[in-house]
Amino acid sequence: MSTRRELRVAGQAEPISHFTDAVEAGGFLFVSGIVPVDERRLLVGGDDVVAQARCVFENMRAVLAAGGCTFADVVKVTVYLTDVTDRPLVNPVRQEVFGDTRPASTLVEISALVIPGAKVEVECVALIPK
Amino acid sequence: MRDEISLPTRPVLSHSADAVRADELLFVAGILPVDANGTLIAEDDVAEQARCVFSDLDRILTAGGSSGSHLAHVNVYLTSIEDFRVLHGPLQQTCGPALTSGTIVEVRGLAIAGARIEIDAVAVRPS
Repeated sequence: MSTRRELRVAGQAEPISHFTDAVEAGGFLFVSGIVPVDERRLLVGGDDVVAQARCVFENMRAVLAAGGCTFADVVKVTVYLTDVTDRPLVNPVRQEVFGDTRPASTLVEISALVIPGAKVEVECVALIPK
Repeated sequence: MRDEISLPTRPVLSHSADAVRADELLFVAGILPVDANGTLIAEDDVAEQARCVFSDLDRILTAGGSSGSHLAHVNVYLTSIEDFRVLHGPLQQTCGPALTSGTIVEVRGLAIAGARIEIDAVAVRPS
């Protein structure tokens, strides 16, 4: 029987809709899109996309850890930006958190995110270490 | 093991199967609110479009040897982010007591004019 486990991570804001923070399935950790919010789902970082990105990756660190993973285990990342010209501002934050790890990555500009004022959202898939 | 799943009741809109089975995982292609002829369903009714796409998701998951309770991730692409509120019912109906991970974004356009929602998904196939 394939393992499937739902993770609701303490300290993360309540997920919206009928989602949870991450699902472990088939040896992978599928992480829901992470927005720049605090535990009360209030926007962090104002209109500063760098501060928002740092918040997103700190939240991601916590969700990955809850699933037994680190950034080194991430295999795929999708970055959603409300303004694609923010890419050169967000990329240094990505490089800082991922270090030598380079997951397969897609970055697109979208017209809005679920949190008003959010400029960046990131989802990822990690390979859970055995 | 890799094989492709296409349901005869679903239109072929592009060079895509409905889903691909890869060992334990099922990767489901983007589902638009269209009928078997590729015609848009329920123009201007995003709630009905949502019900349509999740109903199609159920069928594809079943055909792929999975189910709504085995979803790992769902991506929802909306033409208006405020429409995310219509997702709760269809998601709950599809997943049952289970919860999936997911991401919801607003996009500027979808492949079929008038479509207000598209979803894709990854599920695990119970052995």
